[in-house]
Amino acid sequence: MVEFSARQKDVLTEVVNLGMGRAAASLSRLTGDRILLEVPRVEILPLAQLDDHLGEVADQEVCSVLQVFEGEVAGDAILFLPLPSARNLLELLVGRPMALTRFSELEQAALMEVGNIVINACLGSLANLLKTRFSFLVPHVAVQSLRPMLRGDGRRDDPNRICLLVESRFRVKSRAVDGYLAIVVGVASARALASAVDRLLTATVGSWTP
Amino acid sequence: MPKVLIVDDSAWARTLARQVVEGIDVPGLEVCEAADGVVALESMTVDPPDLVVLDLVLPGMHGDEVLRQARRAGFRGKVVVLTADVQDATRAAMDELGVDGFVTKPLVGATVEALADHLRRHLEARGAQGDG
Repeated sequence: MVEFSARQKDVLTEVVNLGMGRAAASLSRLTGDRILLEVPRVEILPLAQLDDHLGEVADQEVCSVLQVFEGEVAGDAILFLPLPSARNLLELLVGRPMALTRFSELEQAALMEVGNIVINACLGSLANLLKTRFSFLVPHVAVQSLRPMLRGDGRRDDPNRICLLVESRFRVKSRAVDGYLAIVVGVASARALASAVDRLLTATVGSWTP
Repeated sequence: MPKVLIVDDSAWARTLARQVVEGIDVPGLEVCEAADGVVALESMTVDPPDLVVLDLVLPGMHGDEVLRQARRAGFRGKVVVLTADVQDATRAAMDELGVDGFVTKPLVGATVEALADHLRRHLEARGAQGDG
């Protein structure tokens, strides 16, 4: 597995912060309220460990939005929201109470749009700072348990496949929304990502170490 | 000696901000850093800086609350917010709290100059008023 240094992780965490800030601005325009962001937690781990790392969240039904991206760094971006958070988010967006487990086509479309906004904001920030470009394929939305979804992917056990996992929480009024963004890449993309971060560090702060 | 406090949880972001602060031609400028909201509040109340470059999304205590509590405790220094939170509502909330500048990340290109302008203006104004 490609290892990331402390300074590379610091940069990636800050880039995710930039992305979440942009995503919050878009969500704020949609909800009409200020989104109070908390500091996202960023982990880099082998994809094979993702479900165990997530613990009980991996066994719960979640609303997930999957978006494949291509470019110098290519992979899958998966935004997933535990159902209570998905419901809170929908209520903020549409202004009326939602059923906990069943989402209409329109509600799924709204969640897909939110996923699209968050994924594009985070990957867009990454692309801009790393001076690269990602192309996005059409996103897919699903309500399912995460563990079977991850285990159904034949690439899960590839020891070189890594996941950059962002755990994020924000509040709007008194409601909390927890969300997870998993950016999954193979070995070549992980190396390209590490190299691009190094180029950014060299360009901005030279030989600095945290 | 004028003193600037840089508050950000990212070491990289603090280093970028420090480069801008240190690029301002102010004699004897002292620069210190805080990586979370609680430490920032302590620095602002125990040994108040003249100017704070304040990130908002911080561990320990959100930047809004740092500023609110610091003002309540008597902090009268200048505050320039440097944040990835680009919401209009956040900017309005910061205006209500009376910040002296609002610059959005990333700190590259035009935003470097925007931060430098705020720093120059506030630190030069302080110099014109004397050390106080």
